[in-house]
Amino acid sequence: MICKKIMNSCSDLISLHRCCLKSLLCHQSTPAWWHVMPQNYCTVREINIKTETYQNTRHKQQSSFNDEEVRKFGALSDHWWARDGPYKPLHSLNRLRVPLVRDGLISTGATVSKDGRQPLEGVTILDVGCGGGILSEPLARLGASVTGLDASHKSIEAAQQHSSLDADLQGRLQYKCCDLDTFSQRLDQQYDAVVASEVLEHVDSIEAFIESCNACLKPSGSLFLTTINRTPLSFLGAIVAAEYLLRIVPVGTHTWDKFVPIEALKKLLEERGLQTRLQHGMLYAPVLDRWCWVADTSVNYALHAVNIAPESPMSPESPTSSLS
Amino acid sequence: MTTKVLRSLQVVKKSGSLQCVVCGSRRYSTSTNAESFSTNTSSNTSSTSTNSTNTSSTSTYSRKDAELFDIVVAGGGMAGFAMACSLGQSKVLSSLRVLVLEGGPHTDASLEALSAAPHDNRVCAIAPPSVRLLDKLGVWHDICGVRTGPVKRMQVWDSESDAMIAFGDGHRALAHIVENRVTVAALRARVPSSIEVRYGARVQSFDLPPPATDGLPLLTLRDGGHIRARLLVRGASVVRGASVVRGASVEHLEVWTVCRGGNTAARGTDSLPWWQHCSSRYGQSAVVATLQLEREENESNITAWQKFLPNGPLAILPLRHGLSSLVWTTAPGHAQALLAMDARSFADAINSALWSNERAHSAPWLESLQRRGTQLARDVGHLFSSATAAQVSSRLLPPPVVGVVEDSRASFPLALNHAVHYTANRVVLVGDAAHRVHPLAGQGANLGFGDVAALTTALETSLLLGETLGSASCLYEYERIRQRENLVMLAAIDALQKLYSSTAPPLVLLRALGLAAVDAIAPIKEKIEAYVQR
Repeated sequence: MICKKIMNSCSDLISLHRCCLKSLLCHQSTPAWWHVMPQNYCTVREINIKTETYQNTRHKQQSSFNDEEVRKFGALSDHWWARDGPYKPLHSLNRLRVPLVRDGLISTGATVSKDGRQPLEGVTILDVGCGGGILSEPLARLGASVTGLDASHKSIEAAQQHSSLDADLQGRLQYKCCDLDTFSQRLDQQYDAVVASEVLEHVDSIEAFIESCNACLKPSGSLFLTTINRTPLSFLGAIVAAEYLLRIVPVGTHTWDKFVPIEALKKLLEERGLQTRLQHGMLYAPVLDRWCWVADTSVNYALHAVNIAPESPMSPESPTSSLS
Repeated sequence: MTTKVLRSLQVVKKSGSLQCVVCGSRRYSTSTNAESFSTNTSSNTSSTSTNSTNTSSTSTYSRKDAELFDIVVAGGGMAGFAMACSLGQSKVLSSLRVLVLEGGPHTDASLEALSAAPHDNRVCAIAPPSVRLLDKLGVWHDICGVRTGPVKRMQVWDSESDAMIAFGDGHRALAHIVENRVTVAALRARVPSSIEVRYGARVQSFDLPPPATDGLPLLTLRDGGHIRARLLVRGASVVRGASVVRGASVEHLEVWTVCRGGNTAARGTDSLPWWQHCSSRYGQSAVVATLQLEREENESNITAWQKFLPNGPLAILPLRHGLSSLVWTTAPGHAQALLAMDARSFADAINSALWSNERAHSAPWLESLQRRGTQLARDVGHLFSSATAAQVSSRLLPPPVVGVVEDSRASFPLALNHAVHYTANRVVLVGDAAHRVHPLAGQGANLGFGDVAALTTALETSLLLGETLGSASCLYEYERIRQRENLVMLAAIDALQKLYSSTAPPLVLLRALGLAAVDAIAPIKEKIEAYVQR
């Protein structure tokens, strides 16, 4: 079985290498990497055309919701809380992202709780793309009132079933199966914080997503994002190493084109009245199953932005920036 | 990962059956229930029921009449009460419902009464890191108010050679010798009122949930009560067979320990992970007593003396001016003989052991080699320090023993014991329940206090990460950190014990040169002192 895995990795590497050589020989200065699988192998010219078309499509799409991505996670919904399942890195990522949200909210003064055990008492949080509730549950245990949102029925069911096992979460944690755009249009309350962790790289339209998140935020509310940067290093790390070599996540989980360059994201946030307060890189050690903070944001990064705009977010007719 | 590697190197003795040290009953959660649970552990999502009654129809730890606590500390003693004080003092953990189960009776002995009473024969050397923890708990001030014996100088030497090593400059305390009952009484007095302590609570059985399930541990007491805990902390342990002679005190603690032997077939590692201990008996007994020393006018009793004899080390630890505590590790037969002697002969035996220059093997070539080696070590030591500042430890003679305090002699067997796993599902071991070491380095209590500090930190971090109390990742983190430290100390102490238990000339030469080198080369000595003081 190990031999088979090695063979699979080798064959994928060879096809990747072939694409690489071809692009170099065609003197392309910035080869557009495509999703590298033997059946998707194509010439570089075709790659460039496809990339342009794809980016234009992504750019013009108004919805942040993608059916295929939702189905992908729905298929694995039984494994959200399995100890050694495909979501193991997300569980260990809590060591970084729970303090990120907790300390970020304390520093902005969103919480004035004196309770040592529940520092987020009185804070309302919206967890967008909550999946099985891996991040929602710890935040609820820290005292926050959390609404978990996900477009996948199966994921929400798994989240609800798991949260019912812990009596401490009753009354503090609720789940809604809905896509973000619809939810933001039918808001009954705004939230002190919106958390979108490991979601941005799966949505179609970043602009629409950020706009919807902003609509859910109170003035001076905090937006917490963790996602993957779009750099050559992230291709090697998050696609080649994570999916093909080390098999940390299932193949096809991520698409390099959907990764979000950090500078473009910060610019987009600023245009929406969200000021970046903190950005930091994160690094995963697969064998130890531990994450740690690093200065370099080339692969994974986390971002904390605060809504400083006095009014509600911008209308759809205003110009949007390009992410390419 | 280090833990996994170290664990794989341990020689594991799988225990047979489990037997209560007090009532003798054989009981454990449920080797029969373990199999029936295994089918239910496969998926959490398939079950629709919210409580643990769904996991097994025979589950006893879903009793409705059981009192539920967040943390139950089973076993008092230094580690147990220190854990209770630490939990009560932590801002994050103080809101939890905590219960301490102490098997002994409630004593009204106040700290003032203890300071007037004669010295007890069970003492511990409290190292600076433990002093810091006790200070943080607000207990150290109380202990100093009763009595402590600061150790400002320590001399260790070998009966088989001239090698010796001395630590300390006579001003700064390297450690403090404190009676165990003073420490326990001071800790008991500082347990906050929000934490319930039950005295005379004897646990009949523990019913523990199998790994990776959602059940909670259930404790059944002898008086019929049932207690459920989200996290069970086991404190110190009592070893069966501790012989008590002439009034030495034994802590009344109620915890389980593993008895080897029995005809039950060894279980698989998955069902009983935390009953595996790596253990060996040293074939030695420790004789403890309180000694009266010759009082010298100008010198205060601040030196700890330890001489390695062929049968084991003899240590004299200062309590106060003119009074010291004896810990003499020797063969069981010799220990019985020592206890049977009258006080005068006992004092003479100690004096002759300390002052004698007799050697098991003496040969001129050996001694000249030792001398040359020692000189070489000193020359190397000169390289690391300027010629004028080079300090070679001067050898002092211990003061003679003039008497033994009445009814203070006792003995107990020694063993090395280390639990392969410190944690299991909702259970964690601290203190002597996790490890027992040889007293030659005086580190047993200090390792226990280190466990308490580490567990408190791990629980605080875990709760601030929003994890459930007693989550596997939190307990694993504690185990990882503590095993890394404890195993190093255990291995070093065990190696020292084995090295010094032989009289073979090559080993004697090796250890003599090693001791001389450590004494002469200042950087090594400083590193050792820094490690102890960390």
